[in-house]
Formats: sequence, structure tokens, C-alpha cells
Amino acid sequence: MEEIETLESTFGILDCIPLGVFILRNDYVVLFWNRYLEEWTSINKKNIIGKDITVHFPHLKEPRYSSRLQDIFYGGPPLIFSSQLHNHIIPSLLPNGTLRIQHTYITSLHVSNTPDFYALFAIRDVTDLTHRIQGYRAMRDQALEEIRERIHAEEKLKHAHAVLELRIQERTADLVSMNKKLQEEIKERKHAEEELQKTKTYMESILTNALDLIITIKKNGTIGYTNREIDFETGYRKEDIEGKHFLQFIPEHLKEFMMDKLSELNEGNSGIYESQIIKADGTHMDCLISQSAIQGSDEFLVSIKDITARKKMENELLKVQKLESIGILAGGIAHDFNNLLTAILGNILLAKMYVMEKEVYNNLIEIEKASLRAKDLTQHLLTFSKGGSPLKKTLNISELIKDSADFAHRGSNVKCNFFISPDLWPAEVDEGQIHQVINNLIINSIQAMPTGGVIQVRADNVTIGPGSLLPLTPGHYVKISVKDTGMGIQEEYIQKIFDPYFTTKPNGSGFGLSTAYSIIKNHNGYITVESRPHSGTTFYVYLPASPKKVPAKKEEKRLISGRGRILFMDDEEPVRIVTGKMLRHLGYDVAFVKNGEEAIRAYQEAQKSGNLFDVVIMDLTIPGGMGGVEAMKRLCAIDPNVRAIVASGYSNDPVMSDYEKYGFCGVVSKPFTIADLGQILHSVFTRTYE
Amino acid sequence: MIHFDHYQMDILKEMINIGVGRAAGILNELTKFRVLLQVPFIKLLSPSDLKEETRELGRDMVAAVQLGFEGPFSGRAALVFPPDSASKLVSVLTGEEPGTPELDSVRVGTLEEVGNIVLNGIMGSIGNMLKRHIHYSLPVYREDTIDKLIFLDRNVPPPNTILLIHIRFTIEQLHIEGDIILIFEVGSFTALLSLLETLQDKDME
Repeated sequence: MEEIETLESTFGILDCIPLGVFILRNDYVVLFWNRYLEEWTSINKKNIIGKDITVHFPHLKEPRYSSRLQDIFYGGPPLIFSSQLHNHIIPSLLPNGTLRIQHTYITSLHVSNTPDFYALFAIRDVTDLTHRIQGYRAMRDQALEEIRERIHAEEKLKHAHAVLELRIQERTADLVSMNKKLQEEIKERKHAEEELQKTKTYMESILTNALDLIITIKKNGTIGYTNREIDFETGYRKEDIEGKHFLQFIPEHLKEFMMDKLSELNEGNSGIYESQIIKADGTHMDCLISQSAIQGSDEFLVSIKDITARKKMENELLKVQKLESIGILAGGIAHDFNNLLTAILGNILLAKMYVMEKEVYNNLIEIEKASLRAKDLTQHLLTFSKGGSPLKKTLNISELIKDSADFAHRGSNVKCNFFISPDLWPAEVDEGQIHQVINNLIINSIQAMPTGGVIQVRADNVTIGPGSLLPLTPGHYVKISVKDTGMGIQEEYIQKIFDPYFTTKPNGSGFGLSTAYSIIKNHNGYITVESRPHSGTTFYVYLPASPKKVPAKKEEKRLISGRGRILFMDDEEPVRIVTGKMLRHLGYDVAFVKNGEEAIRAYQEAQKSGNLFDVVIMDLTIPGGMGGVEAMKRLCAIDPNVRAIVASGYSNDPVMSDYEKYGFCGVVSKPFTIADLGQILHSVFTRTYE
Repeated sequence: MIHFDHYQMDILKEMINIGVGRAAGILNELTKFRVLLQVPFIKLLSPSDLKEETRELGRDMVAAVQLGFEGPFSGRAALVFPPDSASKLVSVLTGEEPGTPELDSVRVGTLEEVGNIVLNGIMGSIGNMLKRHIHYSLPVYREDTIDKLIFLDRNVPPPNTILLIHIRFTIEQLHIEGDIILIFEVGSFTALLSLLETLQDKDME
């Protein structure tokens, strides 16, 4: 106890240092236990000092402690029990229930005046330090781990980067190669596009400048494309056409036909045919349609050519051809008729001279009238004669128009209003024929207005330019128009009204308008019509204006007698007989021949005998023999001073209008009167003597 | 410079081997692995020779546990852990993952104990054999270059003879090897030599 008290007083100061301190004797009896240990272990000094420590802490007897402590009790070098290898020498709980971590130094403590040594344990609480370090280590380890991971990630990244670089290099090389290829392709494509564009421009240029309207039609019939922004022929704009069904533009009567044509296209058949389309102004346009499938497309190509002018010309040509053939027939008939009428009228005239009974005379007058009407009819027929030329005179036709119109409408319920230009140009016309034309047109208008109305007759000067659609030579013309407000002409008849024998009237001859057409045609003019059902009809007549002056009016014919020897040539005996009578009645001596050969022979014989003919009158046409023209040619050869008159029922024959060119001195149309004969012979004789 | 004869050297080696053996025994108790300590050589060197000998350690920082002693012969024993060895040894003893070279205060405490065990083993062995009481100072842990640890950190001139003990530790199970250098700076080797001669005389008797 004394030992313990001594130690207590010696080491009591160790209560004041922040270490757990205790002193152990070599028999493991505790000699000192400081305050910190009391606190740490809750073992009071009184309860442990003087007692074996292994009672409380038996592990200290273990070899790992005892073997090392052994040297301490012999004054050996100090011992260290580190916190990491031992954790704690004296286990003690912290307030949080964990064990306090301890780092322990043990040193030998020499016991004064003895060879013995105590072991002085100094225990440092390193719990906080250890935890801090562990925390630091954890942080460091985590940081190191992160660094390692980062390094690893960086390495992976580097590797990936290297792989990527390699791939990029490969890809770049691929891209360069592809780019090169692409550039070449682009170049080729660009070239192809340029070529395509050139072709497109070229094709567009062709299409745009094409004279025809070109459209594409889809299978359902809608129009897909048109080559014109504005089509002047039809009057449509692009937007009026594109997207519309083609049947919209087809006249009703042609729709079925056009549907059939489209079906043919669907079956793969192309074709060219004529049809009509409705223009923007509602009128119909004749057109030539060419249709074909477009290769590689489900659309069809349709080309539309305006053939209005051509059709018009064709119709004109057809009319001319018709008239020519009719003319040949009519000419023949007229010739025969005129010969007959020459005999009839001649004999009537002679009979009238010699008849004494009034009743017989009156009968002859009636026969003469009927014969003269027959003469008019042959005049109509002659109009159609081939090559027939009117006997033209330069006239101011204002009066002719008025007189003819007045004459025609006299007695009807129709009024005529005239609008005739006061300075109307003169025209070279056959007065009778033009009278006939105006007469026919007015009669036509009267018949179109059965309940009466007004006919407007106009005459104006017009100049036809080179671009005109009218089939006329450019130049100055007198334009006559006859307009009625009648029932109009149905469309389907318009093309036929100038045909001979075409009539819609129950008692019509079908000659009126065809005669007018022929007369105007022979005057190098043109006649046309505008009409709509129920809107009236207007006829337009174009006659070439003449630069010549209008000659003064001639005196009326009178019976002129004379003297001389006449050779009369005609194949018709009745004509020879009656003409002979008329010539003798006028005071002339006459000889007769049937044809040209006989005429030449007779003329030559007369020359030989010295009994010369003063005048030769020759028929122009001798069927089966030499006619007047050839005979005149031969007579001129025999006697250049021969005087001859040509006579013919073909008053429209060019020889009749241009007789001087053929060597004749005069002309007389069959059927001629005794006055005609007297006048022409007088003029020939007078001319001769002048 | 003092020279030990062959016999004296043998006795010295014997004492050191006994001490190292004891240290190995204690270390084996502290860890689950078997730690084998061997002493390939013991050399008595002049300071300049020691410099040459420890040149491999160069200017690297080393950890050392120093133990001063006084008595029939005085001096200082220093157990030097090259960085790689210190790390390996601590890791093995504590069961930590190897490869963390940092020596924080907890690990320093462990290294102090290892140094304490080895130094105590050898010093205890010498003390026991010589039957002389030696006073020891508290072990001190230091980190510095080898030059500064041995030669500069003293107020007295360096000794003309230094005992260099090379200790190799091997932990076979983990295929780990390392070196520890034990440097004895003895103020008067003469005293040690005479003590050894005493032992020699006793053997002769």
C-alpha cells in the first residue's frame, strides 16, 4: 500500500495530461491509474489499483503483449503498440458506443533502490485522428479511384479517339473518294441537266412558236398542258384551257365523234382528222386535229390546226367546181335555146311586121313576151357557162343598186333604206348581171321577212389589204351589203346557200343566190353571208373598183337599115332562115353557110368572082365543125381587111367580150333582134368608112 | 576506422540475427502472413563509404525510426525504410490494399511499431548478451533524405565508423520482398569491441 501511495503522490501529476496513463508491476498489478483512464473505462482507481489488470483486461496476458512487455520489466527499450495493429490496449467505449482507438507507448520505469522496473503505459486517444485520416483516406482513395477511373476513361477515350481518328481517316478517305465520285456525278448530272434544259428550251421554243395549238389530254379527258399563253385563233388564254375537260370545247354535234376518237387514243391508235372547236366568242372553228400517245406518259398529245381559211377556200373551190360543171351543161342548153329563140323571136318580129289582124298581132306580142322570159332564163343559164365573162362597162353603180333594189321590192311589204357612199368608186360591171344580183338578194331578203320589215342596203368604198382572210386580191373594192331582220339562215345551210338548185323555199328554183355567186365571181369579186338564226342575214358583195372614168350614156337602139353583101354562118337552119329574112328586111343582100369551112370557101369564091362580101357574120360555136374564131383566123390570112361580126348564144364567152383581139369588128349576142343586127351592121359599116 | 575480427563479427552477426529473429516472431504474431527477416550482410563502414553504399537511395525521402541508447556504449540505431518497402510492409501488416505510398500519421504509427519491434529485437538481443543495462530514449519517427538523417542531424561530429545491417523481409504468400537498412552509429565502438572481447573471452573459457 505504501508503494502505491508513493506512486500516487509521484505520478499524481499524470492526472493532468490528456493521456491514459497507468503503471504496471511485473506481476501485472496496477500501481497507478490516472483520471483519464477512470473516465475512459469507468473503472475507478480504487477498484483497479493494487489489483491484477488482467482481471479487467485479460488480453494483456496474451503472448503478443506479454512477450514484449517482458523486456520492459528488465529495463528494455520502450515499446510502441500502434493503433493500426492493436486498436486499443485498454478497451474503452466512447459516448457513441464505439471503442476508443489508442496508440500506446510503454517505457521502463526504474524502481529506486531496486533492480526492478515498472512498465509505464502512456495511451493516446487517436480516435478522432484515425477517423479523420480514414476519412481522408477514403476521400483520397475515392479521389484516386476517380483519378484511376478518369485515367482509365481517358485511356479508353484516347483509345476510342485513336480508333475514331482511324475511322475518321478511313471515312475521310471514303468521303474524299465519294466526294470525288459525287463531284463527277454532279458534273455529269449538271451536264445532263444543261443538255436537258437546252432540249427543253429548244422544245419549248418549238412548241411556243408552233403555228398549231398543242395540248395534252389526260386519260380522263382533262387538258393538262397548252403551248400558248394566249391563242389568238381561238381567243382562249392558258388558264381557260388547262384543267378543263376537252369536251367543253367541242360543239354538241361533234361530241360523240370526239369521244370515239379519244377511245381510239386509249386503244393506242393515233390519227389525223378534221373537226370543230368552240372558240372563246362562241363561234366554231374548223380544225385539223392530230392526236398521238406520248411515249412514257399516260397523256395524249393533240395538235389543233386552224383550217378555217383552208376550209373556206376548199368550199369555194368546191363551189367553183360545181358551178363549172353546171356551167358546161347550162352553156350547152343556153346555146341551143338561144338558137331556137333567135329563130322564134326573129320570126315573131317579122310576123308582127306583116300581120294585119289585131288579134293575131296581140297573140304574137304574148308569144314575144314569153320568148323574152325564156331569153332571161337562158341568160341565167349562161351565167354558169364555163369561162363566161360578163360584158363589162365602167359604171357608177349607185343608181344601178337603187334601181335594182327598188324594182325588186316594189309591191312587197318591205321597205328599203339606202346608205350609199356619195363618192362611191366606179366599178367595171355587166349592168344586167349586177342588176340580177341585187334583184336576187333583195328577193331573198323579202322572202326571209314574210311579215314585212326593213332591208338596209349599203354601199361603201373599202380597201383589202394583203393579210385579209377574204379570198380577194388586195386592192380597192366597192362593198355592197344587203341586211334584213328576218329569220336568218340555219348554220347547217350556210355552206350550201350558194349551191345551184339548193333552196329551202317550196317554190324556189335554187338559182337566185348561185347565180349571184357566179356573177360576182366572174367579176373577180366575192360574195359572202353572215347569219344567225332569228337574228337576220347580211349579204356582202365585193366588186373591184375601177380607175376608169364612167362613159356617157348611149342612145337607145333603133332600127337602122343599110346596103351591102353579108355572108351569114350558122349551123342551125331556123337561125339562118330568120336571120336571112331580118337582113333582107334591113336592105342587105345575104348568103348562108353552115360552118367555117364553107364560110372560107364562099369568101374565096366571092373574091374570085369579084362579088365580095362586105361583112361576115359568124356563129362562135359550130358543133362538129369549124367555129367563128378559127374561121376568122383563116379569113384574116386570106383577106387582112375582112370585116366580121361574131354571134353567139354564149354571151359570157371571153371572145364575146374581147372580140377585137380575135380580129372581129363587132359582136352580137343570140338571140338578137332585127334592131341589134341593124345597129351592129351600121356600126361596122360606119367604122369602115371612117 | 575500427576493424572487427572475424570472431567479433560472428558474435555481432549472431546477436543481430537473434534480435531480427525475435522481431520476425513478433511481427508474425501481429499479422496473418508469415514474415521472414534475413540479414544478407553486415558492414562496418566509414561515413564516406556509407554514402557510397546508400547512394542508390539518392535524394529520395525515406522513413526512419530512430532509437537512441546510452550505457556501456552509446549511439543511435536507425531503421530506414525505403519508400517502396515502407508501403509494402505497412500494407501487409494492416491488411490494406498495397500501392498507397502515403504515410499518414496512422500509418506512421504502424511503421514506428515495426521499427520499434526490429530495433528492440536487436538492441534487446545485444543487451541480453552483454548483460549490461542500456538506457533508451523514446523512438522517434522521421522522414528525410538519408544524408540528413545520418550525417547532418547531429550536434556532434559524425562517427568515424558506422555499422550497416541490411535486412531483407519476405512475405512468401504474397510474393513480396523488401529491404530495410539498419544503421548503427556507435559513439565509441571501442566499448562495444571490448564487450565483444569479453564475450569472446567467456567462450574461450
